[in-house]
Amino acid sequence: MIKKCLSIGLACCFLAVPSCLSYGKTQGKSDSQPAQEELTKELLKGVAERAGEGKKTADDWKVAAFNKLPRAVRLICRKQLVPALESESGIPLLNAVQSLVLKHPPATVAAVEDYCRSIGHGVLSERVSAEIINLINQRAPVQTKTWKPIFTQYIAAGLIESINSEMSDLNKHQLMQDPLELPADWREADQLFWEVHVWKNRFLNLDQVVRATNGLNQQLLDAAKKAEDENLVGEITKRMMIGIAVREKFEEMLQREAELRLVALSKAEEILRKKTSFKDRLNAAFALELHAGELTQFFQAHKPEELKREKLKDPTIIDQGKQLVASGREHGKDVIEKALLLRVGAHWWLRGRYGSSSLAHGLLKPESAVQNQDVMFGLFMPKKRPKAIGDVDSETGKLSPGYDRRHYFTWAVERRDAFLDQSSYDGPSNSQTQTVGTASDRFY
Amino acid sequence: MSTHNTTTTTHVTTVRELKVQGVNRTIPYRLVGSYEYGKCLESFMQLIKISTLDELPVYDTILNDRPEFTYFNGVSSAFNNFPNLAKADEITRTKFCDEYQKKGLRWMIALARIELGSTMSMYGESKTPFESVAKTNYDMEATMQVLSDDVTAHMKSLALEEGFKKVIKRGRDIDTWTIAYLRRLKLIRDMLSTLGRFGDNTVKAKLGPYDKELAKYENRLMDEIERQTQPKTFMQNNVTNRQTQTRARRISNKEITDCENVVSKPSTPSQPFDGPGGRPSDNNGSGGVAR
Repeated sequence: MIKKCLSIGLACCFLAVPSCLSYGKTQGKSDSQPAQEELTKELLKGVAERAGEGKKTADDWKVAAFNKLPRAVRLICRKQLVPALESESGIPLLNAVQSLVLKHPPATVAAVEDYCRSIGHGVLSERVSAEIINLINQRAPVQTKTWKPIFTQYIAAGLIESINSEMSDLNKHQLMQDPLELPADWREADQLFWEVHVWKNRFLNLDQVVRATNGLNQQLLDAAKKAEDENLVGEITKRMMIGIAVREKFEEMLQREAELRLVALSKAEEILRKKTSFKDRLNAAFALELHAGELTQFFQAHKPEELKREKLKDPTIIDQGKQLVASGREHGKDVIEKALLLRVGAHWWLRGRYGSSSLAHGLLKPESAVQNQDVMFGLFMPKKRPKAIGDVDSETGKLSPGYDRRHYFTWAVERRDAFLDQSSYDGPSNSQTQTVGTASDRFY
Repeated sequence: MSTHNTTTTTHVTTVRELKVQGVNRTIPYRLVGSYEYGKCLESFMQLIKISTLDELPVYDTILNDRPEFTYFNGVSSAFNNFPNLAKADEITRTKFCDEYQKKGLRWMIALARIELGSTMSMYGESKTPFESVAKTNYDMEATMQVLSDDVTAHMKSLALEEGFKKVIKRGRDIDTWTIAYLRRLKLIRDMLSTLGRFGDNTVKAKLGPYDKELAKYENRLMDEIERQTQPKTFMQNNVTNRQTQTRARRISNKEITDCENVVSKPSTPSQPFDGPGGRPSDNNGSGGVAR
């Protein structure tokens, strides 16, 4: 239900705007329909020529498509858009598209979009939205307040899609299903808590996107107020409650997580008390410390009586937890330090092996990293548990982490931007989660 | 021999001076992996210190349960018969994994040491970067194995790279590639030096002689940098032809520091490296590794 409200709410807030504000992608398309048809014909003709001759290269094909464009469009593409599309940073693209949308009629924008699609850059508006989300997640200064409503409208669909997609993914996750049970196997439980850790970071990013989206809504609201359209003002205000829905979902996730951690804490204490094998005790000792830390944070921020989950409402729950931790620490004092050193060291290894940053194709952190601990810590990490190189990811068909050793790349780190196509290293790809300045410093 | 050694020392010092002069001295700290592997080694070293010999294999069993802590050694064999695992049948795949797959605490430490040592070698000022992070007997054998394989991969790659041949040509204008290859040569020589001290005799005999050859290239690049960045006197300027003067103006000290400082700027590949197989970073940065 929440998901539905969220998607409907978000969709509406961008679709229903005063006519004076509407950029009208649809309108733009209808205006340029004949032009597009003509362009498509020409492009198809180019394909036929290419197939017939069998000699023209992909570059020839791009040149041919480019030459068919109106002169004004060619100028925009050559001087601004194509260099921006090929740049690793999203900011030039954002500026170029903003300028395009604000200064040119919809027909021109549509022609440029077609050209970008024809040369393999996909749908321009979606690409811009993705770059905006990327910049937001990197905590780059994105000046949404200065955007004109016409541009806001242009990128809206991509932002909505992103929020919906994240919420939909979370709803499908094992943690959000009833009955809530802790997997019996250590490895499966470990996996589940890893995914929860990843989800918390994803939510931090999502929260930023929602904030930016609400900022954009505010623009539309201001414009509606200026136009004295009271109905619309009410409607947009209502839709700006979207942030609350996202935060409610996040809260639900946190409470479910806490409930599971209490179960895991109890299980860890039991293993330590029963003096089982060294391996089991190591795993239990790490689990005990991990869950104790996470639960302490949770109960510092929440009072049991305010919680919705039945098992967490018990007023004695905090004391019970404290007793379990004390008992576990007493019985496992010989293994706790070793368990922590092993798992913390392994986690840092994982970050060194699979982490990527935002510069030099993921190899280099921003300048501010040397002064800011958050930036130094923040890395893009895989959403899913990575596999060692040599194993091919069944979904992407790529090797992971994409390179054998970092030092095969870092000797020429300043040239990595120039070799986006040649390098097999993906850099910050879509399968990223933790980002600069947002990463939780907890392990798991 | 002694002259050779003296020259090398001077040139290595100059490489260091170049790095020190470079505006952007933050790179070694900002490279992903430096901080992370450093913290990793900090924990693992303490763990080894407080653990008994019986406990160490138990750590391996915990780590081996997780595929992400596995990696593959044998990168240098990629130049001969590295299988395409995406298309390989189960038998080939299993055989490959058995042979090259490395997992467990000592192998993780080995990789962390080499990655961190490499950063220190290329961007730091330590004379013995690998030794300063390779001091325990626990992982020494694993470290030397990975190091031996990594340095072989670098050298095989270097031999195949058209870009390198172009960079070491006399009279070529220096650019970011010159600096990058100098850095790489230093890395390879540091690796060889570590292997020479701690590796087994077979490795020493196999790789040792290459050091001289690499030193020659390093010297040649340094000569070129010195020649092109030396301030011209009035007389020299008068006697050199117009073309040389133009080049002397173009290649300034500023350009060298810029070379160190262009990291975040998008740039296009420089002309000499265009063409198939010519780019130093073809495929995966190690030259012709076929993946």
